[in-house]
Amino acid sequence: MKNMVGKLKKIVGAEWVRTDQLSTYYHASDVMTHFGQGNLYPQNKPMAVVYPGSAPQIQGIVNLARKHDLPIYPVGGGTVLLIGSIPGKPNAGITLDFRRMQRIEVDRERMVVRAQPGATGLQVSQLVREMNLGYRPYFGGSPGTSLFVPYQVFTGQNKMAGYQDGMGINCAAGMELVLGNGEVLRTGSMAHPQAPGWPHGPGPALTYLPFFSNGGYGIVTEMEFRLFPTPREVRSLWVTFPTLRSAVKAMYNVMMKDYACGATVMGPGCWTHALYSSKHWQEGAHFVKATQDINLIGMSFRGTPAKVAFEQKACIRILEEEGGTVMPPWMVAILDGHEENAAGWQQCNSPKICGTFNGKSDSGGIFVSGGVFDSLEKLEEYMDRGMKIYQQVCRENPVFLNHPHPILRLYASCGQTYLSMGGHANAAGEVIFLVDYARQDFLPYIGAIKGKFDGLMQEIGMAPLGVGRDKRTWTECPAHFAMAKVIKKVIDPSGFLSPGVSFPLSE
Amino acid sequence: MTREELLDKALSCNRCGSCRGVSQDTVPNPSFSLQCPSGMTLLGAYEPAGLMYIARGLALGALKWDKDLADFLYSCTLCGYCEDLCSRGYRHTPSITILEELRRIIPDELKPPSLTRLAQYLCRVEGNKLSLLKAYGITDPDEEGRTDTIIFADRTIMANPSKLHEIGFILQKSGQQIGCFMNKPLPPVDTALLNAGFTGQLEECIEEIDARIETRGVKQVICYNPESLSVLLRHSNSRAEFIPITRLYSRMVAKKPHKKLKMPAVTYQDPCHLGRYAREYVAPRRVIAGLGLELKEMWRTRQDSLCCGSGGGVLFNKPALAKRYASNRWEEAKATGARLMITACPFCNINLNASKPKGLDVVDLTSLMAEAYGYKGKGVDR
Repeated sequence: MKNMVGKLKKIVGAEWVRTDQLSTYYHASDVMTHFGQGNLYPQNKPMAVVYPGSAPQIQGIVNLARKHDLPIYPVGGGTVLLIGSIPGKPNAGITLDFRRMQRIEVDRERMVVRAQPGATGLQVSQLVREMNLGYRPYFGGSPGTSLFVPYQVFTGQNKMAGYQDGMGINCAAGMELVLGNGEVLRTGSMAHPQAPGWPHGPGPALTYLPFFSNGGYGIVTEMEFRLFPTPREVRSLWVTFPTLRSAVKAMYNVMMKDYACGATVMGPGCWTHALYSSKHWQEGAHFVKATQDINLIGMSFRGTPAKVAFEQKACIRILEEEGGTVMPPWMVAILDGHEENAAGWQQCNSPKICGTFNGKSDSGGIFVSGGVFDSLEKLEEYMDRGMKIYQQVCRENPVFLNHPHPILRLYASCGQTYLSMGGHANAAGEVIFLVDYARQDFLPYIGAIKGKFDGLMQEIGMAPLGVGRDKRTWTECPAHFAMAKVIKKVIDPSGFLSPGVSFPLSE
Repeated sequence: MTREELLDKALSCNRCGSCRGVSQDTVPNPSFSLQCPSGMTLLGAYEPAGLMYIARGLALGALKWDKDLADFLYSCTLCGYCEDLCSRGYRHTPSITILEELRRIIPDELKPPSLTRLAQYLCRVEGNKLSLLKAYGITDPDEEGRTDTIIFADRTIMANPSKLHEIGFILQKSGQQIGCFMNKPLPPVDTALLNAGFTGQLEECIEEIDARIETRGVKQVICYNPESLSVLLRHSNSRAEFIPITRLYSRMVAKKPHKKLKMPAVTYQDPCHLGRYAREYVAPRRVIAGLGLELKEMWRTRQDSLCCGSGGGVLFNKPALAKRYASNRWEEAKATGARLMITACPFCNINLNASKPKGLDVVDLTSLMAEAYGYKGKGVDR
């Protein structure tokens, strides 16, 4: 290892290779480990942390690692809230931390913004806002303030703007990728200096290939994102329903009219979605308290003031026909984060979820069980049966509901499900629970719920969320994952790129 | 603090990393998006979450003190941004409490000797020139008996005649009866004791301060040095009110006639211990406006202000690093178009002065106040 560290220092400079105990300890775990998902995202120390400063340095590192079969685990701007930013194999590899590479450039001619992997989504948004272009990037579902993920390319889709602007994958226009053999691949808008800011032309869309591979197909060194027009007017609407069924039916009706840029149906205690879009924890807490016993549709409108006003009025009429009641202005008055979110600006989300959970200084985490559906009917069934399962487990384990921490109890008592609709969205369902990771005795309850939900998902025929680490795949489609593995084998035969992250170690 | 208590506090941080960035909507340069001086300059585990991991690792037995850990710990300026941001909507991690505790429990052989010397120097009464204030009508409560308002004399003014003249002049112009323990000064505490981990010594000093101001019936204590102010605000049990001198200035410019200063646009550096620790953002800006100056704010301002780099003892322990921290701030100041940076902290002043680029300058707000009220002495350090 000493020899290897010496070689790495030659590539990046001595001060940019750290092997001290804190650096390796620090990069061994992240927010996912502490979200109560320690089993799925265990603490794995790298042998060294390397800070590359350029693409040629990354090439040098990749070539060295390949030669010595040394696993490489890249980390972008910080913690990643899906799959994690920690090594998939303990004490075996090196972590590449890209925080020396934070350059961001806006190309007004081609209407793209180019970012290095150490930049955060927030930094990109701040710069573009300052330029007042009338356009903005959209990082669909990518985690917020501190976290940017071009290296592993997040393809999430949540929040309101995402329903119209698409998933993260739809916003990327091109990328520069160092492959496992050390070659540099430039795709889409970055294939040629004059290439237009389109994600792809005729032919295979290679830009999309590395999405969710989390460094498994190569290391992204730069990425370009499309810019979207900034809406002139944005407004959100929140409507409560007596039953989940009536809310879902109302949602169908709205969808049939193609109104609203994004809408979500949420079951009782619909805090997850609320917190994803909240600007501050007070907003999230307010929302949670206001929605403990109700079914809710949240949606947003954007465009010209006239369009927004017309669509909002039309949707209220449709929703009221199914028994919906518009939430009063005082109740939504502080939901400024949702308007901001609907406008499509980068927001921090999940760290705030933790903050709201934890109240003062208690530690805690969330447990997520959810999946992707190919029909709304399946999702509705999942929501309905899932809630019953959750309630049953809670009844059988009263300690789970009677947690002494009042805030903890508040959230633990409300399983949440939602479905979403919109331009690019599939139906998605999610049930999220809280655990106190400092209290390991809570894990069996969570495990019981998780096990039942996994069974339910299989029964209904849906794809669970989560990939890699627990041997799940992107879609639970065997053919899809088999193809992904074939590609992996071709471009990374020895499997040194992020082993145990998106591609399970056993593969 | 027990190991369990330390762990409990440290576990509040789950490395979400939000405190690395600032919360304003726009910046002209991505490097102005970052906030933690050590995290943005030295990367990785130097950022706040890394420091919290020291506490977590030590409490769990996963880490052991060594020179590297000490380097991480003493590269932090204790600016307080991480804790402040965390409390605004994240996890309420008590970073400062944790960092001060780490500085207390670190083995003596790893404590930087420069910080120990500095703490002993800054918090000891020495070179006392406070009697100069008598020329401006300042009285000594030990001689006069009860005194409602006093100026707290820390080491940055106690042995600094030019600053004493400026302050004395301004206090006289305020028309307010203000005292100062001159013959036997109060222990001149500031954050140096906390930076060096001498919390026990600090408590002793604070006890003496509390007892003496209580005896003399002091109701209000004016602090020139924000680091003294923040220590007194956080640790004193006295019923007296501790206020920054900028609040006095603010009242003066609103009520007492003074000349308007003529100079190009200025920018203002919020000192961490005046801003985030003492929540004083308004008064200095009122003073600047009252003096007739055009203020061009930097992007990182008020509670999102970037530390100048001098805090936490970095200025004395790692002066080259303090300059590196300050250089990013100067870039930001330059981008506003201002040519003069105003601050209200002697340590900001020293560090920013030492690292200022050509064509830019830094000045103490007190000097500007003195100038506006007609002070002609040597103390005007612009």
